[in-house]
Amino acid sequence: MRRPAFLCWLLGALAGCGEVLTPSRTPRYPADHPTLPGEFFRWTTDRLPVRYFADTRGNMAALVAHGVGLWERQFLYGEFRGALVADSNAADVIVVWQDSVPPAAPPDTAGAVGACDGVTTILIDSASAITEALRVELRVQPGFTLAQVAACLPRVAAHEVGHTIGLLRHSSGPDDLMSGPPRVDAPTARDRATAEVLYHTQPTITPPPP
Amino acid sequence: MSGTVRGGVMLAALLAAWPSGRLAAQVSVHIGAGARYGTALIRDSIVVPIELRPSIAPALLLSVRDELRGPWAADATLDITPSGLQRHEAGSSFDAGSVTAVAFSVGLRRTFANGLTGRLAIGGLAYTGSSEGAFRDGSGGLMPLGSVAASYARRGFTIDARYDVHRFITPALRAMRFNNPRPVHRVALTISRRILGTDGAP
Repeated sequence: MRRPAFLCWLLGALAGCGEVLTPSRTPRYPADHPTLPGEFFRWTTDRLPVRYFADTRGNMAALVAHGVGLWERQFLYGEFRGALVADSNAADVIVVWQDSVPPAAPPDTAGAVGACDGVTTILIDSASAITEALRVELRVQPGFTLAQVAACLPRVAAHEVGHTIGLLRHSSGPDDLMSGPPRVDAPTARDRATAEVLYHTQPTITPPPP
Repeated sequence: MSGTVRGGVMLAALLAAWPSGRLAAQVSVHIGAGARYGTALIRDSIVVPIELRPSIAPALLLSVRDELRGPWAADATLDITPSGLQRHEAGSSFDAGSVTAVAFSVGLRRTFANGLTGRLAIGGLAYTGSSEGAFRDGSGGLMPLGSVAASYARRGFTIDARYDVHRFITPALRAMRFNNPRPVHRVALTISRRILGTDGAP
């Protein structure tokens, strides 16, 4: 009686006896284009790493790197990768300040939703092809302290990077990074599931020319 | 890295523990190289089935063997396999980085006849050299390993057919709610040569 029990333990230790279940990618939210329902955009493997140009003023490069890194870490198989480039002419995504450049300051721990915002512009022609580099603009809102702006910017930058990877809609979940405006600093399980499913869905919108 | 260091420390301890007279008389050191195939590290399903699989890769071996009584011998083997990783999805393959598997095992060998030998071993395996994707939060530490092998020795060379199995899971996979480690089966064909000492091999 002891020998089979030992053998089962040994085999279990080596090979594992329990059934291996793949995790569910639900719940998630729609990722198609808000005004072109059923049209999906994502970067294809041959376009990785996606090349980001960050405004050379202020801490934009750090904000973009932070946002790209957050989204890269949502994927298990390297489906999305981004890299900063120095030449805006060689970029797939251009991220700039819309007007004033905020000076560096220690962030306010309260978060300060609304102290900044951003907009991502994607020009798509009638053939569902993106015609030029995606453009992201970050803007500082008046009436907030520098600390509040410093707390807001990484969150909004990560949210806009989420749009540039192909999450074209806002989440209806107020606790998701891709809700508008974002209230959390990192992608949630819903954000991750949505991005993962998008990156294994056939895109219908063509990326901009390389 | 912890697996590499641990394996190296164990091998060094093993060498230090052997009396020098014994080393001269019955202990031999072998190096080997070959090719290894492994089954999928991860099987997943996101819209379509996905596998993360190591590519066929070189296998490098360092082994210390001590002849026991009769046809028996004990050995300790350090086995290193640097391999590329590929994501297989919907009939296509995509590069997914690389990783190195470092395994250390202790085993018992029995020589049968005409240079044929069987080996049964247990040990541990660790993955190192990657911090991306499934390995972004670490490699999962030392995983238990079981191994069997058949060898044929002739004129100082030994051809080994090796099979081993271990369980694979990483902190990133656990965070993504993979519930259990997955068994990973590996087979290797290697050729090795004695570089120090003598043994019972022809």
